[in-house]
Amino acid sequence: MIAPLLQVNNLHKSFVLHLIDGRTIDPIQNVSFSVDSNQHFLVWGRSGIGKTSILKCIYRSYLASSGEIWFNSDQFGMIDMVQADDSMVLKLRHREIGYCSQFLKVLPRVAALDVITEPLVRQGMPEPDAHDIGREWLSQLGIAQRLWHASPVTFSGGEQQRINLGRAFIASPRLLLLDEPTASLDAGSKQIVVDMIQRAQQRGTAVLTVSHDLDTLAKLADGQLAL
Amino acid sequence: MTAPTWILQASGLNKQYGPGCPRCQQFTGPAHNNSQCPICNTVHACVDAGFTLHQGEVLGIVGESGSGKSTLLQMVNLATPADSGHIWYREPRTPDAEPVDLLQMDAYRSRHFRNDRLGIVYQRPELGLNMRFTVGGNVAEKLLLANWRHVGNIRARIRELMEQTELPPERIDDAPHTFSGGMLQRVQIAKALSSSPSLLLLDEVTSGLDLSVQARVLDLIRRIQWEQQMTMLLVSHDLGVIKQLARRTIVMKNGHIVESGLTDQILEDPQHPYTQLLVSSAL
Amino acid sequence: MSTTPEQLYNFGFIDEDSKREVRRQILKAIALPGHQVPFASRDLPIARGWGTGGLQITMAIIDANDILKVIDQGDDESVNAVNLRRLLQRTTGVTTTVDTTAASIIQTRHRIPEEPMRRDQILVLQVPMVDPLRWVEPNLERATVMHGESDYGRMWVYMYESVVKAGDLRIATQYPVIVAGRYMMDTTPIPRWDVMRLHNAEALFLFGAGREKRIYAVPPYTTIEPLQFEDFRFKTEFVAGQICARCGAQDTFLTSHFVVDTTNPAGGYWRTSCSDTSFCDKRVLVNTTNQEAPQ
Repeated sequence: MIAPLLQVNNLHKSFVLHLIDGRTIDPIQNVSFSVDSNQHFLVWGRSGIGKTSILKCIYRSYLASSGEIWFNSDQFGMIDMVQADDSMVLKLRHREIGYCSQFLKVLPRVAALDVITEPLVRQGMPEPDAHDIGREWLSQLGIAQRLWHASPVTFSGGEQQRINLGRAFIASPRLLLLDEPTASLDAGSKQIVVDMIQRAQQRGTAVLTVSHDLDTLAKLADGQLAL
Repeated sequence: MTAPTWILQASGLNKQYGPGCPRCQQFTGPAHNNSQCPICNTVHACVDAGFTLHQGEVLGIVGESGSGKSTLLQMVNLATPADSGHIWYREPRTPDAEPVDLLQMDAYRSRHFRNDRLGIVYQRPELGLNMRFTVGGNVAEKLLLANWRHVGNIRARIRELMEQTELPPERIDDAPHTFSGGMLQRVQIAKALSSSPSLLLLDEVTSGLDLSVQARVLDLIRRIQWEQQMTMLLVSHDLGVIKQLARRTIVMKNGHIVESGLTDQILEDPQHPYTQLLVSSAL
Repeated sequence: MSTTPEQLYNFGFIDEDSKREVRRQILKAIALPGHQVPFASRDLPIARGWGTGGLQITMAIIDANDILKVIDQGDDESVNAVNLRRLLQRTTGVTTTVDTTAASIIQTRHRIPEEPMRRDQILVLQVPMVDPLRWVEPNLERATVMHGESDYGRMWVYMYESVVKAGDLRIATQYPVIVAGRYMMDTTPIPRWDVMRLHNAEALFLFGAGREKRIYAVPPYTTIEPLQFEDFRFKTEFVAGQICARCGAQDTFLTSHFVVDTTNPAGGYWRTSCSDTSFCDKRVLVNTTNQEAPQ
């Protein structure tokens, strides 16, 4: 039996707030689940329950307090994201693990086309080729052509999030972590997201989504975890 | 197994000003919010600092005044002699060669290394430039130190560097005082890049610049880093600058490294109380 | 018993202990060509800035058998040269001469004699400013470290700037050179014409600065490399068509002075002649002898 792409065992995260008399907050306690390649796995629950924290622990934006997060890497074998050193994490983020936050962190003065093609260029694709692909994605995402060379600073929340998602999907990582992908989108855009997830799975990407939007996403999920 | 990609491995770097006494450790450090021993007045500018720097990456060093970040940078720059410690260096152009401990090199080799393999940009242009020479002369200094002896070739290279750093090449013979602050930072960058260094050291390079100018200089640094895959050590007290450029960061306080990790992890999930304070203080 | 004023002074004016110190520093300077050696410069009856450094060197090394020549800008008869020569003559009793080839010690200000010197001769040069780095590093401590570490990069920027500002190397005197491949040295205000005379010479060159309290030396057969670029090389002065009005020479360093017309206040003219007066005199003598010789 092939090992799962991602195996989370007894994940526990606790924050120590030194600025407020050192009290602790434990958003996640004892979470376990696994995701196979090509699977779309949904973690759902109400706001504030710690779903985003799970994603961040996997991506290593948070340091897990205890537990194991085994990632079956193409290049390096089984890696425990909790124990891995920084350079290993950076290597995995470079090609194998992608992350889409809930809101686009806008770098002013960078054009939308450059934002969306950044992962491709970072992996070494020549800019003209990356831009060709980027333009296709932008039109599929419904971003008007006249905006392609503008910075997303002035875009609507929905447009920003669509670019954010495009950037996450464009380089086909092996595991894609999506944080509330449909939250700021209208119905039409939500459908775009659904399409993107399905097509990503066809290309071999496993998707781990965290959301409270069961209506849109539950039917897509091959596996679920309710918090 | 891929070959090691580290370019610099620093460990145990110490720098103190003063004789030191047995009680120093009791009274200095981040827990005591103090760098100077009240008994012997020794300033412990940098205590047991170490880090690894990989080829092509930007490592941020963040801390407030007196944290030791500039001292650490100047020890890597081989300008401030470390009291103890090692700085192992692997030359990217000869990956099979043995690593060298920069702190064991004699003065002559140190100077040659600093001129040839390192580039440094300071917060204040007058620290990195000589205001009495022309802009071109300043950019040329490292080339002349590396025994370039053909004025025509030197000037061609200066113009090339000026274009790379978005400076008008026709102003090659102008005096530095006719340049704005942002332009002078770019002159420093041009000078630093002149020897095609393997490591760029940046000390608060945008602090004190107007906001729009700061943005341009940061964009330039980001572009150079990207185009040349330049390894950088970036010192700043501004978390915004660190966030834009550095993928990994170390946090310093009172001469000690209190936390180190991925930049996004430091900013989103700071562990050390001081880091939490810093992050929460960002505007 | 009356004593003459000269008998009240030690041979060579300064006391033997002072001479010993100067000689020791001279030896050190010879051992480290181009390196500036500090010495305790004594008070003399001549003010600082008038050749006290060169004077102390001459006083320290001269003995009763030496034959002394003193020149100032090549001229044996300037006020300066006359006074220095007189002081030395009266306190030592040595024979003095204007003939470069006959002298054993030549003390000079700002020129090297045209006639090449031999290995039994010593040239003592008077130095106003000692450190070639002063243009780029006014701080003495930092400049000393730069010399110690052979860190002369900034001086090269200075040379580059000179080319850029004037279109060519425009350093007229005190041309910086590298001595024996190691120290950068100020050649004192000798013209560029004389700089290469220091290179691989037979004679010993001693440099003394009384105000700056430094001695340095260029021993015989030492390499002197003037700072230059591949596309802007070190050149000596040359003005086409200039000749000496006295002897007709076209291959010596020339100086000019204004000749006043006593009959016509608005008149007068510039006259060029050899800077090295004794050499010029010799050539005049040769010309006259040739003219008088039977055909």
